[in-house]
Amino acid sequence: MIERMRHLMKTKKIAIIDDEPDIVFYLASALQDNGFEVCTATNAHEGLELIRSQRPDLVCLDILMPEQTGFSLYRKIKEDKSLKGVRILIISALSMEQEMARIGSALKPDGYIEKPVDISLFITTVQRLAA
Amino acid sequence: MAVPEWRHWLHTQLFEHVPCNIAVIDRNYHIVENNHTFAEVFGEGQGRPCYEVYKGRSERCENCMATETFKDGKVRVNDEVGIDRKGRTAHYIVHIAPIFDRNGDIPYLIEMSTDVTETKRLQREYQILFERVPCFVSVLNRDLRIVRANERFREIFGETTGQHCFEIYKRRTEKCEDCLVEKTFFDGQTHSGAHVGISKDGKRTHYFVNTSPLSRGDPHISHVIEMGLDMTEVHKLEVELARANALRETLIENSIDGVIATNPEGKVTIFNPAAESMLKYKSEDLIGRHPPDLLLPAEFEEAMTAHRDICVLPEATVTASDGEEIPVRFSGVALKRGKESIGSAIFLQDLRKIKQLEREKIDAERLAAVGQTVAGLAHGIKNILTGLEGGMYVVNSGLQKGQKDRVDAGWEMLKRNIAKISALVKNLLNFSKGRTPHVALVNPNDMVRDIMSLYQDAARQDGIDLIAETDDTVRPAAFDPEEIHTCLANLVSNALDACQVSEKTKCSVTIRCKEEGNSLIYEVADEGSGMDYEIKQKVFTNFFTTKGTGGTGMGLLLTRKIVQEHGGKITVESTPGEGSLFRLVFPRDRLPHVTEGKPEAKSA
Repeated sequence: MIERMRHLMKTKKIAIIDDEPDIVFYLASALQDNGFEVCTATNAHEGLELIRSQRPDLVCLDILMPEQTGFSLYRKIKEDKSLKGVRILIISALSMEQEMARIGSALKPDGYIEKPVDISLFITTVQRLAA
Repeated sequence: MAVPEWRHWLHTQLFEHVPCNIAVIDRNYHIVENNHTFAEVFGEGQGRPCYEVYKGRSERCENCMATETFKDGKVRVNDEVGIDRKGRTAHYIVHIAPIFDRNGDIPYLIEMSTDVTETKRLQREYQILFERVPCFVSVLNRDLRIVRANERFREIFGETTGQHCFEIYKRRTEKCEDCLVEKTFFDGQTHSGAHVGISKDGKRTHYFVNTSPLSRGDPHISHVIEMGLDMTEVHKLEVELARANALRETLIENSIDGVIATNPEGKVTIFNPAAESMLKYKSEDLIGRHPPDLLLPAEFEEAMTAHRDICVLPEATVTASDGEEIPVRFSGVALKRGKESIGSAIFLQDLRKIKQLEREKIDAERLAAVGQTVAGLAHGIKNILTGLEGGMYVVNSGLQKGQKDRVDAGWEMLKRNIAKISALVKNLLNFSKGRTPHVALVNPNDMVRDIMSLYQDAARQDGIDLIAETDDTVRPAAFDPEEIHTCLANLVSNALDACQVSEKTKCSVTIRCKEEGNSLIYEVADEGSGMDYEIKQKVFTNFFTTKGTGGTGMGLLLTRKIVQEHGGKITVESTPGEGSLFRLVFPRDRLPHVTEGKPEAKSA
């Protein structure tokens, strides 16, 4: 029911997962101001729970996080068939090349944004990916 | 007709003067007349039976030759053994001749005996000498066959009489080309030379041989005596000695390390090529002389003067001919045979390359750390920048919307991120400032005590046991105490945090100082939350922090940098839920040199 309402209202749900609470708050505020519904987590573990329960249209993910790194969360989302269709926008302080060199593995995210975040680029990217 | 004088002498004097014992016996075997010489040997015999006089017997001898001659009138010669008047055994050769009367009967015999006791004794002595002389002796005939051989010969070559010498000595089927025996037969001279034969056990036998003619005064030599001295053992020793010498020379000549040896007077006897190229002296300029002053470290002279036999200096300096001071690992040994000094030996391992490599390695490690630091720094700064921009955005949107709480929230974000960036900059300064290290000789245990007093109260308040394990046998070490303090403080502070995060009710942190091998070790062990593999991989890099906004991620990075600058290594073992163990290992030979305080004089 809610799902259908959301679809009708074209409200897209975006998950933000970053270990910096300030960044989470910042990005969430910006997205909300642009009419998105936002859910957040500050570690990868909570992030996975959040994605499974909330089924967001797009996950904005910092893949350089402690404990369980963002990268393994990235892989889990990609590998989880039930989460097929959930798109991923990586947000990282490193460039995508640096990031791939660091983790020694190829990344094929739906989008990639480098910190510090250009907020208008961020909003348009989210709008494009969540459409 | 006058009787000539000599004939008169012959008839009257010869009997008494002939160097021969003469006795005349009658058919009763009684001596009827004996000469003076006889009396000297056997005593006056007239009227006594011959067997009593000659042999001290009371009746006739069983194989009495006189009886035979009385019967057949033939002259007989025999070896006899009798007893002289002093009771000693006497060897004599006796001639028995009949004295015929006109009827052809034999009323008397004349016995003429020559004393050969001395000759017999000599013969026996020569026999013993022949048999027992520590040479092998053989007598060879013209056919080169062995007619006699002594005991030593038989020991080495076995029972051989009758065989050809070449068969026995060398297992040959024909005579040797350089036959010494043949030479001696030819020229009657003595010949000698070294030969190699084969013993009865089939072993090579080295001997030195001498051949001499056995001549009986005539020019014809019937036999040659060959005397050989067994040199096998000597030869074996010579070969071993030569081999040992060759080995020693090869080892010394080809050693990568400088080798110098001196005799008891301290004069150089060996100066190998490695020593030549290291010290830039020519061996011929030093051999037979005292080594130049300063060539060897003073400690070595002191050790030798103090009769210490070994002087090992892990890091010493020797001075080359051009004045270059060369870092070496030095070991000097007093050479002794029993208690007698036979000089000294010195080994120099050139440390220039090693030192260079060590410096390069430390530099490379430092550069790598700087690279990681810069990457991590960029990451940290980007995060903070994002936080600042976020704060601005939130403040801005709050102002636009007239939402006071939103402005406040944004303001807090700005404040937090500014605080973060100032903490980061402060740490960064600490990290990067070209601080001249103040290296002093410090008791490593003192560092642990300092940390204890710094953290004990805080730990107690949090219900954590802070335990110090020091070891009094740990020797003083050269390091920058302030920097090592920073390292230990970082580790202990981390360990205390890990305990607080842990779900355990009771938790302890142990700081240890000990010595392992030639390394100084610090350990900080906690029973806190521990780390999983991925965190462990990252703890020393990238401004990594698990403490959210509580840490800048610089602590361990700084710690690692300091440890590396002291030539050390930091490692971590950790199990999630069980705790972590951080280990700082400082190999003593890589520790920096003291730059201040009184130990300087000592190290100079």
